[in-house]
Formats: sequence, structure tokens, C-alpha cells
Amino acid sequence: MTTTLSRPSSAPAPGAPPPRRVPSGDPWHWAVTGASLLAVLAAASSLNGVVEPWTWLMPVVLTLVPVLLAMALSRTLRLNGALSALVGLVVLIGTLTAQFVRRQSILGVVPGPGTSLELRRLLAQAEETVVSQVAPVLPAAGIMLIVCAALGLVAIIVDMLSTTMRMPAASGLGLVTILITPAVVKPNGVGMGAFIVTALAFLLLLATAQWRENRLASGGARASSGFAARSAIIGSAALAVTVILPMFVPGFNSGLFPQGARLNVWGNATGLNPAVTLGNDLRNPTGFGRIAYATDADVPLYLRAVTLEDFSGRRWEPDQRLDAREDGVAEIGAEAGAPENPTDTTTVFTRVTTQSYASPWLLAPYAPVAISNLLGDWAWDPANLSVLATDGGSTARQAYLVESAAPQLTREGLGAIGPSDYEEVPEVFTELPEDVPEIVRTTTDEVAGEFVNPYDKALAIQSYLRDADFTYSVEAPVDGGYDGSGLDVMARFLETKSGYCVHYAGTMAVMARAAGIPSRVGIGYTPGSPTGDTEEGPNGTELREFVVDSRNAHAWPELFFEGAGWVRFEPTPSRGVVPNYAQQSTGPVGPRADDTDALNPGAPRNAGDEAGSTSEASEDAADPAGTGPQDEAGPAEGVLALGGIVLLALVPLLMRTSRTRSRRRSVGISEVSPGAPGAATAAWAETTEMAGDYGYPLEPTDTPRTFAGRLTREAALEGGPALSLGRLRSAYEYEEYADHDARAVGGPPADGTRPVATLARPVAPPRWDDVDAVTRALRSRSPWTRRIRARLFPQSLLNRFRSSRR
Amino acid sequence: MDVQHNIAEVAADPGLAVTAGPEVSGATFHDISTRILGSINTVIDGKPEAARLALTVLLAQGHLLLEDVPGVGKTLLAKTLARTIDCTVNRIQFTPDLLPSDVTGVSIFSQDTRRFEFRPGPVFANIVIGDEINRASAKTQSSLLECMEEHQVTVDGTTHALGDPFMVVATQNPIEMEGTYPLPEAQRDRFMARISMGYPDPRAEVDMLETHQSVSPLEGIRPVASVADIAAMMRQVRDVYVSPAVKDYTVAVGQATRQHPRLRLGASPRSLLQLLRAAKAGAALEGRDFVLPDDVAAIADAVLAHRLLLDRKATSAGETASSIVHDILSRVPVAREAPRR
Repeated sequence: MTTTLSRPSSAPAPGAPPPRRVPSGDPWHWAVTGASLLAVLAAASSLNGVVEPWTWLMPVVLTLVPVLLAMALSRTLRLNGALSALVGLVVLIGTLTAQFVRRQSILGVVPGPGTSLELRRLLAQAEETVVSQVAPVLPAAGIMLIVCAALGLVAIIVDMLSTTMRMPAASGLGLVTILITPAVVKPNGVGMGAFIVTALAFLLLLATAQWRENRLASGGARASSGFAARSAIIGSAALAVTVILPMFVPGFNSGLFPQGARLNVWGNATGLNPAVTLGNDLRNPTGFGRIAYATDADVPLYLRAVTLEDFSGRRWEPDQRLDAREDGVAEIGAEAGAPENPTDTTTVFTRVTTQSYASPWLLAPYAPVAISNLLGDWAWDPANLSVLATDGGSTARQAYLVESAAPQLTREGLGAIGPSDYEEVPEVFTELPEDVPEIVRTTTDEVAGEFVNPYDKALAIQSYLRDADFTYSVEAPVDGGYDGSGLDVMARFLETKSGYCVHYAGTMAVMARAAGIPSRVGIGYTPGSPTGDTEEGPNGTELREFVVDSRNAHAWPELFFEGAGWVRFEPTPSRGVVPNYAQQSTGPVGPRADDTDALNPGAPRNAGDEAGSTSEASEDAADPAGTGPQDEAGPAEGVLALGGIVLLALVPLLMRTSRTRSRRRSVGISEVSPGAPGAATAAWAETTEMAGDYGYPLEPTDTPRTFAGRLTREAALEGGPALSLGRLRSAYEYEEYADHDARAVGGPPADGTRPVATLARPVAPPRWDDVDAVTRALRSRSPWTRRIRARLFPQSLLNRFRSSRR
Repeated sequence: MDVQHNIAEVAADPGLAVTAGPEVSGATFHDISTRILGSINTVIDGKPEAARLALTVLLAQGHLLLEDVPGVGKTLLAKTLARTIDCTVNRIQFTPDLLPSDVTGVSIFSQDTRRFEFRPGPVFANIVIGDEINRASAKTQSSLLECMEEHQVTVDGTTHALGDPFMVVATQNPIEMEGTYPLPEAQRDRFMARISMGYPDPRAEVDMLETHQSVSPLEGIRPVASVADIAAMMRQVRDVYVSPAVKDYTVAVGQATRQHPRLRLGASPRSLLQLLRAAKAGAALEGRDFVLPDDVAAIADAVLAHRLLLDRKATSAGETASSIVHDILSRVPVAREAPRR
């Protein structure tokens, strides 16, 4: 057979041919391009947590769809491969222009005269975001521009590789480049969900590309369906191994990507937020971001940047409250809920030199009254006195003077404050999600339930957390997979009793809210170490100099007391300084809850007993760092893993059964309407594969006859099954080798001589009963081991891989 | 792959119960072939495969080379086949002094007509038995071989057509025997198939001694098929369908002979053509109008072995062309790909 393939008329000029010629009439590249789009979007889903979740989706879709659409169109129009990439690039520039610098553009899509200036501004803004914000960053225009541009370029590369150059496997590199950013930035690495979705999308891309190859190779004929099934097995098996294996192999915790090496099954609630970067800062052994401050305070000074109080998203988050902020920090008003006429306050002057420390949140001792010598526009929040840059600026290279008024607090003063319903405090400081883990409520109840006054409750909680049962560790949460500030993280922290300041502070704040006390988490720095230098402050005071760096990063709870305002506590052992008013004492200042409860007089309890019994109850879980959480998760993980293994083990059986079923269907059709193509082949394929499963494989040199003969002999088939096998074989031979274009054979010869009659006529259509008969016979003649192997590990699945190689 | 076994399997084919042709007026292909084989088997004891192969070659319009030591029934097989068919038969005993004109015929000057008249030689018959063909000189051998190829004789510038059907059944002794001129490769290639008769098994030999003692077994043979029957059967054989898969398989076998390390000369394209033709006849004898790979494999030894030249190493290792053909058949994959769906 000779087929003359004609070159398309718009064939590229000699000297610049595409890598491999794409035959004319190839509409299937659209499918591959579609798969490329899906793959890039799937990989982009790992950006959740780097940018605020799903905020990237719309701009990215608006960028990718036109680009890939244009590239596919250019291929349909038979443009040269390199040209289609160029088209993609041009369209990418157009969509980016339309989305981000429309005002400076010509006709909305062509970059205009002012574009470069605007671009420079956006890029600077993006740089600022990267430097100053912690992930997940807000979807500002600058960062979105970079995300869209990068994803657009990757999409062009992926599509070029998989469609034009027909090297779909290589396009995986493009997808990996997308995953690298979250792998480095997010503490949990890429994340299980995003990884699986990306891998599946990549497999889909491979399958689609191969499907197209088959279509091209067969000149458009319907391609074998086997390929999809095969790639599905290989892909899902590889994916399952990737996901399940690390659970059982210890020691994926060190190296360049200590957290990224292990796909974190549990780390779902924590994207990146200030609380977690703080953990990363603490884990950094060298320390960076040196900050010097000089102060005249006579007590150790905490520098505070921001407070976390919003718990509506099920984790501690800062709230910028841009609408409520008041511009200008030369004079800072009173905080909401602060005592109206504070009598005992100490005014403290602090000069802060930030050097390279860059953040949109200004570091200041609590509670700032006035800030001077500050560059840029800043605004303060009446709700928590946090100071935020409103012009995109940051604290980098600033030296400013803060005047703060530290309230004079005493145990007695605080202890005298009775319970309140805190109407003047915004709800954001008191809200708890409804699904607070049970352990938080029960522990709070056990620890603080017996006290009436909020101050006593707070002290009880603080002393419970500072108990020796709790171990300070910056590594354990990461190893145990509960780093972060989510609700479930608090619960796991209470179980394992090991964590660092974020966990102590966050947990105390949650427990305080559970006990009815408004709370928030302050983020900033512990006092640091004195340098010994002094400098002259305003009004001739002497300021002593201290330095802090990333190792001093800290989080602490601040609790609200009616009439006293916000009060700092220090539940983290061995970190920071416990304020005088929050020191341990022998007994509660206020009355106990059971003092007023006449029904329960004989049960005096104290906080120490409570803590003791609680820790006893969960002693197993209080193992030193890291082992606890894994033990805890043991049974569930075991069941999960076992279920996974069982499911995996059943995959061959299910695939084999589904194949049998589809063949049975096609044979059934031919029984109803004889002559349906493929029925005999399907029945014979089922017979040979079934025989292979039972240890009588079809060899490549076997003809149907030799195979049937050998099977009959070796499996000792006789009677019914042997006849069934013969019928199946004849039907297959007829279907495979005979001429089906009806041709009169044996009619009277043209020369009028005596006819010599017909040689053969079509055989009866195959019947599934025959397949069943042979299968039954094979099964009954096999030992049980072979029967099980034939069901669970059918060789025919492997043989199909082998046969496809030929 | 065991070719002998294949034949046995083909004979006991349960599928045939379904595929056998229906009875129509007159004799069917199946009837006639059964009658011919039955007749031959009454004469040649214990050699049904040889008889079947001979009939296969006849129906495939090829020529047959019977090769074996003297006295195993080569000539008897040839004669019996010829007699079962109602056609003209000539026998040429090749001797070293036989001349080409003794085979093809001569033009003689007729005193009556004053012209040269052509006296046809023994080659003018439907079936020509060339006994001990390797005893004749090369010149004489080639005169016969030319007739085989051309189906015509040219004497003194006049072309005379040979019979139709026309089949040469040549017998020869193995070349090591004294006083023989072995057929060169080119001429062996003209024979569609070569059969080695082999000694009959002891039981068949006893039967043979008993029945053949008094009367010549040939005397009881009556023709069971006419020339027209044979011609019609040949037409049917030509119409047997060969699927692309079988063609691929045939070519794969041929290529394997050309690439086999122990062979100096592999199968020629002509030999593959003849292999497929013989396979068609074999399929027709099975009652099928399509060829199976089994048909090709079953006849491959007979059709290919006598054309292959072994290298010295293979010869000294005791290998034969037949063993190499069987080796090839056991290596060439049959299906283009595993059955799908």
C-alpha cells in the first residue's frame, strides 16, 4: 500500500522546518492545549497560601485562556511552531496590559507611552509586597501582575513543549517551576492537595498528548483505548506510592526543604501568616534583621508590631481595618476600651533604629502616644494601636522616636476587677468559632472554671501553660505537622504539650476567650540584650540601648480587663519576661467559683491539682518532642493506610473485571445482532487472557490453533470446554483472517464446467457461554493459589503492557 | 513450533464441524480431495502427510520434488497421484545419456508432407513424472526445468503449449549417491515443494509386504477426478482469501530466513509467493476459504527447506535446513499485536 502524503501548502520555508512535521488535519491539538491549561491552573492552585486563597484565579484565567486560545488558533492556521509561541507572547502582553495598565494603554491592549512608568510602579509595589508582607499576601496589583506574567510564560512553554514540539513529558518541568515558589515559601511545602491535583493534571496532559499521537499515527482512526487505561494505572500507582510511602519512611525532616520533603497531610489550616514566619524566624540559628532600640524604661520592653485578633477564619489573623485607621501618628489617641482617666501611667521614650528590618507594621512599645521622626504615611488603629504604613512604605531604614504610656498595673488592682460582658470591646476580640475543639473548652473549664474573676482565670491559664508538663520547642510542631495558628493546631498543642510562643500565646488567647475574656495575640520582639551603650533622649533623659534580631521574635497574649485595658501576659516558658502583675502567686486574688456554690462545698480544688490531673490523663501524648502526634494519629493513619493498600491491591482485580465486562457487552451485542464486528476478537482475547491468568499464557508465536491445542493439552480440557474453546477459536479465526466482503465462492465456473462446491460459510457468532465454560474449566483445574493469583494479580494486565511494546 | 503436530491438530479440528461446506449438486471440493487422498493412501501405506502435500502442490499449480533414498515409494507416489486423476501421464526415466530432445520432442522431416513435423516428447502431458532427475546431465535437466517454468516448449522456432493442468513430479536420490548431478539452487527454486518420503513405520511396512506381494497396488487405482474437476479446484484455490495479517506473517518468515545467522541463502521472493499459494491450497483442503498462519507454518518446511543454503558451521553442527525452518517458525511472532478490545 502506498500513500502519498502531501505537504500542507503553507509548509514552512526550507531551513526552518518544525521538529517533526504535523500532518494535515490535526484538530486534536486543541485537546492537548486544553489539557495544558488545566495543568497550569492545577499547578497554580499551589499558590493558595502564598497569595490569599483563590484571589489569583480570575486574573490568571483571564490571562491564560486568551494566550492558549491564540496559540491553538495559530496552529489551526498552520503557523510555524516558533510563530505560535510568538503569538502567545504577544497575546500575553496584551492581556497583561488590559488587566493591569489599561489606563496607560492604547485601545486597552497595546502598551502606551505611560506604561513603562506604571509598570515600574507596579513592580516596585510587588517588590515591596514580597519584602514586607508575609504570605499569604494580599492580592495587590503588583504581585498579581508578576503571578500572571509568570504563569502566562509557563503556559506558553508548557503548550509549546506538549503541542508544537510534541514532548509532553518535558512540559512537567514548566509545572515544577510553578510549584517551586510555594515549596520554598509555604512552611508545609506545596501541600498534598495541590501536589495531587498537579500530578493528575500532568498525567491528563500526557494522556491527551499520547492520544493525539495515536490519532496522528493512525491517520485519524479511533485510537486504542488501552493507552488511557495503562497510563491511568501507572500514574495512579506512582502517585499512590509518592503519597503513601513517605508516611511509613521516617526521616523526611531535614535537608534543604525540611518541611517540603514531606507532604503534610494535616497541615491544611495553616497557610502562611505572621505567626508562622515567626516560627521560621525562631528556627533560624543565625538570626537576622537586627533592630536596635534605646529606651528609658526601667522594665524590660516588648516591641509590638501588630496584634492578631480575627479568629473568624479559624486561625489567628491580623486585621488591617483600613477604614477605621486614623492617619498621622504624631499624636495617637486613646485605644478603644482603655480607661478614660488613667491615673498611674509611666511615660517611656524609645528610639528605634530598624536598619534593614522591613515591615508595613511599625514596631513600638505598648501603648504608643506619639511617634516622631518617621518617614512616610502611617496610620494607627484605635482598636489595637497598631501602626500601619498606608503608602506602601515600610519600616526599613527608619529611626524614630516613640513616646508611650505604660500603665501601672498591680495584682491587686487587676484582681479586683469582676466579670463583665465587655460591651465596649468589638466582637472581633471575643468571637470564637462554634467548632472550637472540645479539648480547648474542657481544658479551660478544668483550669479556670473554679475562678470567678477574669484576672484569676487568666493567671490560672498562664500558670497551666507555664507548667513543667509543657515543653518549649520550635521544632516539634513542624515535625508533628501542627505548625501554625489554626484551631486544630491549638488542640494538638494542648494534647502534645510541646510548641513555641505562637502556640502558647494563641492557645492562651483562645482559652481566655473560652473563659469569657476578650483577647488578642501580640506579635513583636522580646526585650533582647543590652549593648551597654547609652544615648541622650528627649528632655535630657538617658536611653539605654538594646538589640533584638529574628531570634527574639515573639508572640504573646493580651487580655482585656474592664477598666484596666489590654494587659500583656507571658505564658511561654523561658521566653520573654513575666510582668510583675502576672507573677505566680499562692492563691487567687478574687473569690473562687465554688466559694459561691453552696451545693458543692466539700470539693476544694486548686489550679495545681487540675493541671496535674490533666497532664496525667494525657501523659502518653506528652512525650517529648514530635513522637506524640504520630502516636496519636496512629490508629487513624493505620486504618487509612490499610484501606489505601487494600484499595490498591484491588485495582488489578477491578481493572480486569471491567475489561471482562466491556468484552462481555460487545459479545452480547453480537449475539443479538450477528455480524457485529469485534465480538469474536473480544471473546478470544478474553479467553487467551483468562488462560494467561491461570498460567497458560499466549505466546507471541502462537497461532490461535497452536494456542488452543496447547491449552487443551496442558489444561487437560475435554468435552464441553474443549468444544467451547474450539468454537471460540473458529469464530476468532474467521473474524480475523477471513474475507468479510461477501464474495461468491464456488459459484458455477465461467467456462461451464462442473461446479466444485463452496469451501466454507460464516461460522456461528461467538457466545459468552463458551468463554464462561472455558474459564470455569480452567478454574476448576487450578490449585487455589493460582486461582487467587489469577483474580488478584492477573498476568494479562502485565502482558498487555508487554504486547503493546511490539 | 511443531509442524507435524500442527497437521495432526488441523485434522482433528472441532471447528471444522461448523466450517465444512454444504453438500451441493455434484461433488464438493472436500469430496474430491478426500477421494484422491483415499486412493493414494490405499497404495502408499502410512504416508498420509506425503499424499496430502503432493495434492496440495498439485492444486497450487506447483511442481513437486520427491527426494529420498531408493525404494521408499517416491515413484509410486507420483504414479498413484497421476492415476487418481483422469488425465494424461508421462514418465521420463532420467539417465546420464538422456538428451534434451528426448524430453521436449523433436522435429522430424516427413517424407510424405516434405516438411518437418514436430513429434512431441514425453513432457506433453498433464502430469510428468521425472524419475531420478539428478541422474541426467545438467543440459537435459535444464530443458525440463525450462518447461516447468514456461509451461511451453520451443523447438525449431515453434512454440508448443504444454498441458493444462501441468505438473512435474520429479524424484531424486540424495546427492551423495553415486552417479548423480545435483540440481543447482536456481533449479531447485523452481519446485514448489520438496518432500522426503522417509521409511514407513514397522506396522505400515508389514501391511505393505502383505498387500503388495501378489498384485501391483497400482492396478486397482481408478481415476476419481477429472481434469475439469482439478481445474475448478485450482480456481477455487486461487480465490482463497489471504488476510494482510497472514501476508505479514509470510513475509516475516521469509525475512527471518534471510537474517538467520546459519544460512548462506535465504528464501527468495518467488519462494514466498509459492509458500502462500501452497498455504492457500492447504486451507482449501481444510475446507476454508481463508488462509490461517497455521497453513503457512504447516507447509513452510516443505516449501522453503530445499531452497535454503546452510553455512559450513551449521552443516558440521548437524543442522539441516528443516531444523532451521522449524527454528524460525518458533521465533516469528504471529499476531501483529495482541487482540484488543
